[in-house]
Amino acid sequence: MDTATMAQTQVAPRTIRRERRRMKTAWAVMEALVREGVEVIFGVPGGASLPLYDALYDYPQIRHVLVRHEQCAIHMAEGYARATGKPGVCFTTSGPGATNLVTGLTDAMMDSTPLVAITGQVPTFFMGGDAFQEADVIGVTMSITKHNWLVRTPAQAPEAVHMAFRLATDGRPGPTLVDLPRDVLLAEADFILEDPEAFRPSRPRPPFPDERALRQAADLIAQSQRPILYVGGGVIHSGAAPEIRALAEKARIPVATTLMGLGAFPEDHPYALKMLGMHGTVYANFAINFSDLIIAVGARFDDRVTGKLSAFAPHAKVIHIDIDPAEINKNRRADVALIGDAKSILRALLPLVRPPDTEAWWRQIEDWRARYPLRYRQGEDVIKPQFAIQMIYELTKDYRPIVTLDVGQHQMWAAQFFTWTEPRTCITSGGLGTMGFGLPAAVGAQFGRPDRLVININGDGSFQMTFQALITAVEWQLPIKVFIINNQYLGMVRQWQELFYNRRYSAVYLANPDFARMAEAVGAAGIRVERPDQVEPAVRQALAITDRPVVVDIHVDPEENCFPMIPSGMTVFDTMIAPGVKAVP
Amino acid sequence: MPHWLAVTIENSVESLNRVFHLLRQRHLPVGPISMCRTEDPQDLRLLIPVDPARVDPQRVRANLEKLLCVKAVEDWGERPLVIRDMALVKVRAPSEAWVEIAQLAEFYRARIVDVGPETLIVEVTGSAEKVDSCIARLQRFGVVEVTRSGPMAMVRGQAEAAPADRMAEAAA
Repeated sequence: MDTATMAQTQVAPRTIRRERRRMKTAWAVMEALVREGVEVIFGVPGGASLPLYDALYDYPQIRHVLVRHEQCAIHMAEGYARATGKPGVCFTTSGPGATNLVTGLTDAMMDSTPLVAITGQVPTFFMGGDAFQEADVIGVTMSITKHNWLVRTPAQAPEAVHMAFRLATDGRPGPTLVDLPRDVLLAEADFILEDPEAFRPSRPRPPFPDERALRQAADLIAQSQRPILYVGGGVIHSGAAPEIRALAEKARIPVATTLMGLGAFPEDHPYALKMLGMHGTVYANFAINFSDLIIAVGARFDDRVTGKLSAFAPHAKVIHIDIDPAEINKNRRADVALIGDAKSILRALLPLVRPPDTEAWWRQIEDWRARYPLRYRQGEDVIKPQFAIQMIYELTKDYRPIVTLDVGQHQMWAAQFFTWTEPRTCITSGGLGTMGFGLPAAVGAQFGRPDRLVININGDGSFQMTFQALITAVEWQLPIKVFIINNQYLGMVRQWQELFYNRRYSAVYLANPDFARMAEAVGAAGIRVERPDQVEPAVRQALAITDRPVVVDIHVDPEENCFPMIPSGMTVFDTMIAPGVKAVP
Repeated sequence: MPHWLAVTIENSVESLNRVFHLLRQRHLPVGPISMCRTEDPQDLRLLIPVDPARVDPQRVRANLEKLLCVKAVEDWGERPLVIRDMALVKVRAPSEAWVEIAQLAEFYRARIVDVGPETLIVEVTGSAEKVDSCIARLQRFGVVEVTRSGPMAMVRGQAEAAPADRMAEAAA
């Protein structure tokens, strides 16, 4: 199928020459962006950022994608970054434009997504005086960026932009922000345009793990009887999926991935235990909790993985491989900490690894796997959400789609019922759980990967949080497929109210519009699905439409629950596989 | 005895904001922080006491080192230090009490640095305990106001460069 229907503009070859030119700061900012290889910017113009947009007019090699809300712009930048590994870029104006980035910046910080936000600011001589559309963006975004820069003079601008790109991808990736006052953008000055590589943040870096630490880790692996690899999003950022596979195969170690790690290890591999955690597979959770050695790679022992921390995997030693020294001993004490890039560390570790005897351990795991598969029961009348998701998977898998998920029950079902095999194909909001992430992320992913089929699996609640992104997708004729798993509830909240709040359904019913007609109204295709036998033809019909986005509104069982579930703050011994039914190890 | 982290940062309101913002944001349980100037007017040194029973000093350090405005973090936990605190203490002092206050100050090697119509200002320097004790003794005359620097510290006996320089060397 031809998904590359977007107009592809040729990106100018990167100038790496050092040159001196007189120009306005806004143009120097654009020059810096060109030198960083930026192809696409998501944004909305406004008063303070007018000079920047004036300069943008002179740079047709950079596409600007006009969004209808800045939150869409930053989630698009996130989707672009997660699909490509390159930093996403967004532009907003001062005040409300910039504050609308707060959710996306926090999201990117939590999920270590590299992106650069460039915000307009009121002129320096107004700053601090509550000027029109003034907001203390540096203060507001201080804790949700890796670093942010307020540019006070023209000379600081190119350096701030280049440093923002370096820092966004340096070490643990994350978001950065450059705040540009209007008078600075308009000021003319002599600029020295540099090769981006001339800018490096000078920060102390922990030394690469020494031979002794690597040997200690290898010894722990050799001595273990019940080892498990616990693989997080860091493996995807690092590009360490092949090394994870090599380690698993060499030492015959089962692999469980976090939500962020989906795709880091192929789930069709016999060693894959799929996702662990609150809605992970029973066998992955049993395996990690009964393990005697956890090899955590690019993962941070999040509460959605551990449940009650003090009772989590009580007999396990921990090898913690992470690029961020601040993650070591944050939630769980590490017996051996290997700080650095996962790929390099695994490469250094692999030759030292001696396979432990895991025969008995595998027998135990296979017993759990046989007893507790993921399951649901599809009847004749009502569509089960798991059935719809499985059908979407089966009918699209040959395209190797990039899939963005929003947040809620559909996200967990998709995590469970897709077979994830490739890094950067599952893009979702993990740490922050940002409803509204999925649709704009799909738009961003499609801009980053015009060659790939991009699917968004959404919920009816979350779809309505950033629906405007569909308008942008129509404008650019992006052939993304949006599947709304529509249960007319804020489903995950309803599930918790059912299970833990005596079925007191408070503020969870959604009086929804007709999503198919809504899609048609903005120029996308809309398909409504209400019976199980309609699912397959609808998915096929959606795949056949390649000149615009398609929204498939799938009406599913409103009260289906997402299981397995380890209730918040509980342990693996509290795993529910149905209401009132617990899994037994 | 607290575990000290000596943190050298850029001397600016913005970098102070970043450091305090981070400590608050991460809920890192650190003790009262004192702030000193250094041989370089561009630098500020923060002394951050950490209780290892409550938080791993290494974690505090790793978080601080993420900030670009942080030039160096030194863990002074186990090192021998000279620690000095300084206080200015304004004491209510009718002239008949002057001699007695001067004798007390002498005992603490403190100095009377201002004489007003109804008050004296006593300057006292030393360990935190000595300064505490001096202030406590002055209470009976009536202490009007106290300002204190909080502890300043330096590692005893080392002839190496200051932490920021060493860190710059390591980075180069």
